[in-house]
Amino acid sequence: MRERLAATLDYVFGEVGEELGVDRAEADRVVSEIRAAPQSPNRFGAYYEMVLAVESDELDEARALASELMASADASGLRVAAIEDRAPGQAERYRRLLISEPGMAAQPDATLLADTEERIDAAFALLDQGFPQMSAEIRELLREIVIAAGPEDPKAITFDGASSYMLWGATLLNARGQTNVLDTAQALAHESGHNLLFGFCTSGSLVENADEEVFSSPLRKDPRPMDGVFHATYVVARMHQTLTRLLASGAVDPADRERALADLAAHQRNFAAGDAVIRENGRLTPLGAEVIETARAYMASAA
Amino acid sequence: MQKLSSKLDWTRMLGFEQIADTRNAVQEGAKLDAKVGLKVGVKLGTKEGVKA
Repeated sequence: MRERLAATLDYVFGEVGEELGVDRAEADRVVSEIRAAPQSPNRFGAYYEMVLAVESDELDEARALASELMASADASGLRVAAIEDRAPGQAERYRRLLISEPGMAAQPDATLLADTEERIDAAFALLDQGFPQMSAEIRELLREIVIAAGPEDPKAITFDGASSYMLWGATLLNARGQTNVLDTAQALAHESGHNLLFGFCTSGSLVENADEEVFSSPLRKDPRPMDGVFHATYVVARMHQTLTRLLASGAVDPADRERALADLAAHQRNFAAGDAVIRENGRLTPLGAEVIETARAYMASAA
Repeated sequence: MQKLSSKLDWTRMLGFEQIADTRNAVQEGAKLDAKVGLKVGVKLGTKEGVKA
């Protein structure tokens, strides 16, 4: 993904850099920087917003975003922070790109934030103990875990977690979405799985179905495009694998074991439901077929 | 004056399919913010999904 971003910016600034007010030497510096080290999700977001501004011929906006892209940003390690705990304008961008109703991701209060941070730390500790490969992979895939507070109203539309192709490396967790460490560990495996799939898609899609074609999805009540069904089915297998490994390692608190087994059974059912939709209606690219086969092989081995 | 957007070959760019989806959505009159989220955000609950 980084290599593609670097090559794209090299191309864009080579073609229209002057109009965007970007000096060629500065562009070369940024391209080299992107090739050399992990990048903040915000840089991916600024890129997408810049090209969308170019598409719309909003030149002033495109110039401002190009200028933002030139600014260096530390993206070493995994940052866990609340939605508003970032540079001016970034919180709005994260809301815009991560969720369809930006108002549903509020800044959590200090107590809720501290509790969520503590639960995330505990979830990583659990994964470190019971499934260290998954823990390491999550730390590799994610640059930022963004914490927001979903609505308290039980009738309101809400979210548990969200990831976006346009903010690669970021995942949004609802501080009110998980209430225990085991759920948070599964949410991390889940959302990092979306980022993994996004990373597979740098040069094309996993599925060929049109977005207008919608189907039943194992994790959503609303009908979803095949791409969404594919994602959901794949991440269900990833959650199943995570729980299976945690249970086998003995890392799961005995008090949580019954609930973990119930979750495992739900993942089994949801995978079967999602995979049936994919088998019946999915038109997969060779890459998509290869990816879903890895999930099928795992689920078959775990049955 | 040539538009900036016409100077670029969009197929060479990272995420061009997502960009095209968003462009089409905007042309259809969709709200940009919502469409970007709908197209590229995979917003899933771990178990319960979207609750209404």
